[in-house]
Amino acid sequence: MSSLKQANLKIPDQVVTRQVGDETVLLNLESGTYFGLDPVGSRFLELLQAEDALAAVIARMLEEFDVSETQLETDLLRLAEEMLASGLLEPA
Amino acid sequence: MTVANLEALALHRLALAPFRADADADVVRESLGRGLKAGEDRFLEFLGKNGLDAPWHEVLKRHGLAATTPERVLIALKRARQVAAVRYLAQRYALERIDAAFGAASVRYAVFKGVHVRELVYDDPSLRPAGDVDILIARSQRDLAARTLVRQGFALHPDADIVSHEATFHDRDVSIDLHWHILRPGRTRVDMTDAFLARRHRESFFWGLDSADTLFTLLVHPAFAKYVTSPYALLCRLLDLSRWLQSRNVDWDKTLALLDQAGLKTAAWAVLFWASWLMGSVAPPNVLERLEPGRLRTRYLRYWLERNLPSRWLHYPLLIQIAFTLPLHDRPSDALAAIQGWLRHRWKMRNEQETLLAALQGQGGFGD
Repeated sequence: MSSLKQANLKIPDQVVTRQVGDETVLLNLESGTYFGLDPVGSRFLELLQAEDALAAVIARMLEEFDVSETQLETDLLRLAEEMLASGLLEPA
Repeated sequence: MTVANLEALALHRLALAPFRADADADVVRESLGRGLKAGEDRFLEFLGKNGLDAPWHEVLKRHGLAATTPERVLIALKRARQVAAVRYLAQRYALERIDAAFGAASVRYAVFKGVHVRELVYDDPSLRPAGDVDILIARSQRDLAARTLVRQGFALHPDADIVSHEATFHDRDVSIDLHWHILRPGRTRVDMTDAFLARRHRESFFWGLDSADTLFTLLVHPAFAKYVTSPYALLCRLLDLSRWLQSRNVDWDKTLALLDQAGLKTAAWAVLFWASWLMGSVAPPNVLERLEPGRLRTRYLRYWLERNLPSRWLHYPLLIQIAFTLPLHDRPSDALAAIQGWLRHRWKMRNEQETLLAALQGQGGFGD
């Protein structure tokens, strides 16, 4: 988990995204796997594309959301792991 | 009219009410309340079958009604909207690939029906689900287009019943309907396909039909392929038509001239009549008057439409084709040409299918 926090992640070329209201759907065109992100997850994805490392994304979201650091870190690292396993994120 | 039929049409009207031009939050709230009274599962299923669940989710959110919508209903609609968005992404990506491949192979094509229309009349086109991507090509380019699709990873799924004018290709969850006639041969008085392709229009990431040709298709396709009012006709097609008429600068003279040329003014009248009956006036009154057939035929066809007989007699397609769709042709000679076209198709279909399969020999592009 701690090494993941320092990792740079990106959306793979074969994954396409679309905003649906305040949420985001992602589709892996090769596997057909898709994923829906709530508004917090959507913000995570948006920051992930702008920031260098996951740690920077977590720091930025701590400023924006009223949540404990431990809770946010646990939730986002779990989300990142799940998306990596589904091929919806990959190391940059 | 029976009570059951009245009730069924009430559900049609409730499902479409939020999309009428004059609908406000009160209309949406009332429609939802009455729809749910008919049975939560029944209403949700009805919206889903008619491609209206994703648009309903959007309209509830837009009018600030999400908080007062039963949670189970909102979750079901939201799920439908996500699935529609995923499907849209897959179809859009496939279409971008096909556009590039057809461009490289010099295949002149135009996307039509739902996938085309949704890009032009919906703020968010992913709200409008489409089962397949309909692509029109010239008959002379059929084999080249089929080979190009197969090279792109699509597999042909032969169907002898439609091979006179179209063939279906699949790649994973994306289905492409390749048409080389706008309708089954014989349905139109003259073949319109080449003229439609000559007037095609570049949209953001694909070629689509010209505006008047699109309206022509919206008006006649549901008449013959979906029997106007049957469950096959899907209410999202009426929403397409209504939005098109509300948001586009319609050249009725041009569209009416096309319908006249095709001998299909009556078919367009039937579809417009049905849309207006369910959604209120969707076209200027003089347009319906200009399309209306003679008094006797109007009464006869209204009897079919107002009683939704195509739905009630859906299990007797031959009866519907003879008693309902043939009178949708403007003249008896047009109806006769449609019968001849159908007979010719029955005669030739094996040969047509073999020719198409032969064109793909060695390419490995065959589905189950």
